[in-house]
Amino acid sequence: MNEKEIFERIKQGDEKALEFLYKKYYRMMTKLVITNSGTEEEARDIYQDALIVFWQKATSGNLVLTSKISTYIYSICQNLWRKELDRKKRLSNEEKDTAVALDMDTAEKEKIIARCIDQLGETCKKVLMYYYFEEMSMQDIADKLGFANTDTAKTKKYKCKKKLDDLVKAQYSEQDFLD
Amino acid sequence: MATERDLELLDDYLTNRLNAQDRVAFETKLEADPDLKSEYNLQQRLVKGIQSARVAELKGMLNNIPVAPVGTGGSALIGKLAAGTFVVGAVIIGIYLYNNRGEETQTTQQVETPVQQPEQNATEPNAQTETDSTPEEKRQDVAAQPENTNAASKPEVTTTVPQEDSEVVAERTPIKVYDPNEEAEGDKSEDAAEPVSTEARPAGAAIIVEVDKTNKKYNFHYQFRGGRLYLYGPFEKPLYEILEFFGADDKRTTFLYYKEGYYLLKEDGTEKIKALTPITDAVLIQKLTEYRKK
Repeated sequence: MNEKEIFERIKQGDEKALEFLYKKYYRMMTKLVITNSGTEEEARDIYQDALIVFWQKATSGNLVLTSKISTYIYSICQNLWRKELDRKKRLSNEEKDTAVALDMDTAEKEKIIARCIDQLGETCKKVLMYYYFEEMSMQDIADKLGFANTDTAKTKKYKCKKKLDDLVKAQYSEQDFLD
Repeated sequence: MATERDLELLDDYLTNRLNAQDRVAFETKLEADPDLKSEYNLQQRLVKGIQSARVAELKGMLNNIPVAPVGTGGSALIGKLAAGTFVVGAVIIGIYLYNNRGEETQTTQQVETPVQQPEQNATEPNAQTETDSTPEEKRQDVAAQPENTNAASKPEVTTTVPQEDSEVVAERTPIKVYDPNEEAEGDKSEDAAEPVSTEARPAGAAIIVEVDKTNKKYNFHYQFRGGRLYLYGPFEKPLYEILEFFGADDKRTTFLYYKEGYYLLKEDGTEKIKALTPITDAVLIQKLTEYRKK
């Protein structure tokens, strides 16, 4: 596949193209982190995060690529790793404890939401993910999931979102989610 | 109290689907309505949760992809040294063996010019470093765009002409490809290949075929792009065949055989995706069927 074909497939949400890119640039991207005081595990995480950023921008139609795909992803990796190094440097022991205390509350709420999302059916999850992460249009969602038309997709999304809302609200009272 | 319309706007706001003007108006409303603000906070967490779930799903998929470990700087250096030593050793051994080779010199020359000396290749298969294709197919390999390595790595390539000796290929009755429009008046639906002389020869090398079964927009189409043929639709490998014919001027005519139907694949120099239209001309169908049976 050439660059143009890969990018077109990525924009259409073709996960096979994403896999292809992952394997193709794995060594190049992880080397960046490893040669800058990172472990391979950190390198893999950074690369995956960068690739997913690229994926989300491309699928949502918010990316006009003016360089090679590898150049773009490489620059994301650089930024992410730089931020991570800064974060590690900044956090003193005292700051770490405070951050952990605050994070536990948020983490607990996130877990509840994640559990509720897991309770949705596969189609519901796909619809919501394509809508809220890939920011696909209803037409694209209908095409990808085989719905009859955009109205069907819209109704499905509404029902799935409503179900998720109800599941989350049932777990805790609304007060628990107010800031 | 948040209305249904407010909740719709909230959803659009959270997913960046509002234009600038509506966005500002909504933000003003958000600040003025505590109930709506509460709902916004909840919905914001839900949207973040959905996004996180998708990220986790994608990361899980990527984690399952096998990749070779990169290794640390130190081990990489040792690895490079070892690899370098091995390569140098292999080169030295190769030079030594080469200098001591006597009777194999002639074989080396044959390998370099396989097309011109097919008989020698046939009698000394050990010298063959290329694939074991016949000279006829070698010439067509050179003529056709895709390389052998590409063909080998593409599982979707379908070769309809079995591997045969050049003598058998020459004995085949050449098929005449003609334009059905010459017989049918005003029939524009089959603007098929230009008339080809009776010397049309079937191709041994196949064009590289790629099948896309997931495209929702194109589900029974084809496209020539980058020297390859793309089929859009549920084309399973055993169920379709590609038939290629070359005329006297080396112009290629390609047909698709699928589920007992024949389809002309027109190459007009554009990369336009075209719908597959079945051939209805009975004579042409018969000729193609006869060729396939052979």
